[in-house]
Order: sequence, then C-alpha cells, then structure tokens
Amino acid sequence: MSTKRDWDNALDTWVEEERERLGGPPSPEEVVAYLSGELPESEAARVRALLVYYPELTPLLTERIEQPRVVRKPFALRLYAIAATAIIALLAVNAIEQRRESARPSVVVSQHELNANLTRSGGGRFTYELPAGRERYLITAVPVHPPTEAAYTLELRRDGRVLWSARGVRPVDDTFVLDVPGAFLEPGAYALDVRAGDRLIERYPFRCVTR
Amino acid sequence: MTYDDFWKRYYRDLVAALIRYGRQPEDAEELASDALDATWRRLEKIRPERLWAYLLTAAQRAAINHHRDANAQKRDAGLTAPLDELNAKSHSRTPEDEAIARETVARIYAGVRDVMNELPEETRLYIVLRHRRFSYEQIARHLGVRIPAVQSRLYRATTRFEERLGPAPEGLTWIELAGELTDEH
Repeated sequence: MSTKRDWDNALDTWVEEERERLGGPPSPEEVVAYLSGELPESEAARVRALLVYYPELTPLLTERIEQPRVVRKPFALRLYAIAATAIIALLAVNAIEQRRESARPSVVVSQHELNANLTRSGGGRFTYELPAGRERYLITAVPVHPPTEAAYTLELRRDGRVLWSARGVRPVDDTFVLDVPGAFLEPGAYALDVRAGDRLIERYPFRCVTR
Repeated sequence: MTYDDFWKRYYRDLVAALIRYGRQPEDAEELASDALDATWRRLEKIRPERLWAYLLTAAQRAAINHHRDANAQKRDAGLTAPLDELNAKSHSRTPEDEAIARETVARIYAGVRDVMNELPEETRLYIVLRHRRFSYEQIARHLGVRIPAVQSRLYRATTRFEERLGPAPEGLTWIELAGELTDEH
C-alpha cells in the first residue's frame, strides 16, 4: 500500500527533475525581465515554472518590480491610503504638540505617500491645521520612488514661487525632512518639490489652515 | 550612488524581506550581504526600478546554490541516501518487503511522472503550489488566474491521477492530494 509520503517523494522528485530540465534557478536578469513582461512567451513560461518549482523564489511571483515601499495602488485606494495617512499625521501632530507644549519649538509632522501622478488631479487635497505662532515646522515626506541620487534639493513652493529650499539633502531612513521657519507657513496651498538637479522627481501638494 | 549609500538603502529591507520569506536572521544577513555585493558589481546594467527584484532574486538564488552545495557535500560524505532506499528501509524489514516497497515507490513515481508530464503546464504549477499548501486564492494570485480555473483544473487532474495510479494512499483521496478538500489557508 502506498502512503502519502510516497506521493510526496514522487512529486518532489518530479519537481527536482523539472528544475534541472528547465535549466536550474533563473538568473536575476531573467526574473526581472519576466516580471517586466519583456520575455517571449516560451521563456516567460519557463521562468514562471522555475519560480514555482523553487519555493525560495515563489514569493517573487507577486513581488513588485519596485522597492516594497513603492506601492502602485488604484487611484481610489491611493486616496484612501492618503486620507488615512493624513489622519495619522494629524493625530501625530496632536500627540507631539501635547508633549512639546513647553518652550521647545513645535513641529508639524506630515507623512506623505503621494506621487507626481496624483498631483495633477489631486493637488491641494491634504490639509494640515497649523498651530499658530510656532518658530519652526518640520515637513517630512516619504519618497514614492526609491532614492537613487546622491543628493536632492527640497523646495517649498507657493503659487509657483520658492519660499524656502534646502540643497544637498539626502533622505534619512527613506524620509525627506525640510526644516522651515514658522513665518513661511500660513494658510494657503503649498507644494514640497523634490528635485535632482533640474529634474522634478516628486511633488507633494498640501494645504495649511489655522485652527 | 556610492557603495555605502547602496548598502544603507537596501540592506535592511533586503534582510527583512528574506526573513519574511522564511530565512533565519543570520542566513538572511549573509545572503543579503552577498546579494548586495554581487549586485553592486553589475549596478550599471540594472535599471533602478528593477533593482529590488534583482536583489531579491540574487539573494534567493544564492540560497538555493548554498543549499545544493551543502546537500552535495552530505551525499559525498555518505550522510544522505536516496529517498526510495530510505522508504524501503523504514517501512519494512524483510528482503521481500523491501522489494515490494521499492516496487511500490517506483510505480508511484512512474505514475506521477507520467501524469504530470501529460498535464497542461498551468495545471502542473497549480499542483505543485497546492502540494505546498497554498490556498486556491493564493495560487490564483501568484499566477494571475481566476480561482474557479484553479479549482476546475485541479479537479480534472485528480481524475487523471486516479485513472493512472488507482486508489489513493490510505486515509487520503486523490482529490485531497491535489487539494480539493483541504483548503486550509
């Protein structure tokens, strides 16, 4: 009488033979080409099969091409995510304010996960209540695209005009931080631009209101 | 990007991903280091948006090769034996019993191989994933297909196994082996 172990062994042996027949583990180049949809069908089928036959590689079938942080969600989902992020940011602001109500400068922490595509249709949707009379604000933004440049320029803009900027900035823990004097933020629409040289990499629009 | 920047940018995420995929932390750190070094040497040829998938594949491929080398060393040292031999030894004591066990294993393997080789490629993938306890939903998501397609193909496969191999192992059915009744995830 056969057992389940016999079945397991038989299938495992078949899988091992298939791995060898298909050429062993695919190279990183093959996998990224497969994930990008650049392989002809026969090659794509081979790489896909190998991704299944090697359990270590199977998670790559659902791995995005980009860094995990880079999430391309449908527009509606992105709006939900952004709304949730904005709420969390506001809660964070409140919590920070409560703790730092003393003489120390207060900060606004606003964590964005926006991207340039969204900007064209969703600019100015994100509103932050500014506590009045603060000396400085920290504006933080999580880049959507993995940073690849040695340094960036951050520009705080209003009506297309640069109000405040910082050059030679590198993300810390994947987060851009711009330290802005309190006098530069007042009720109105703003954008935080991330540039590499003359190129606009990302734009984070937001709106400030007073309490 | 400098070498240091590259490491700072990806090392932590890569280790975390490898641990999420089931690697032990120490192994994940070593694999991530090897993958980062290997990838850095080819960085100019890799498009930035593909770097992450490249790194993951490089790390997992290194793990596969390490595993294979370790197994080969064990085999050379006589520390492992073919599975059918182990099965035969563990299941029986007399030469007759061992012969029967070997024959059974060979028959099952031949049957499994024949059926698998006859099945459509997609179905083979479903069976292998199902055998690894993936749910229908997970299989569908990983391979970009609809759940009913997975279910119907697996069901058809079970009839092929039954036709070719006869009754399923004791206490199981071919449908269970292919996963129809035990969708645990």
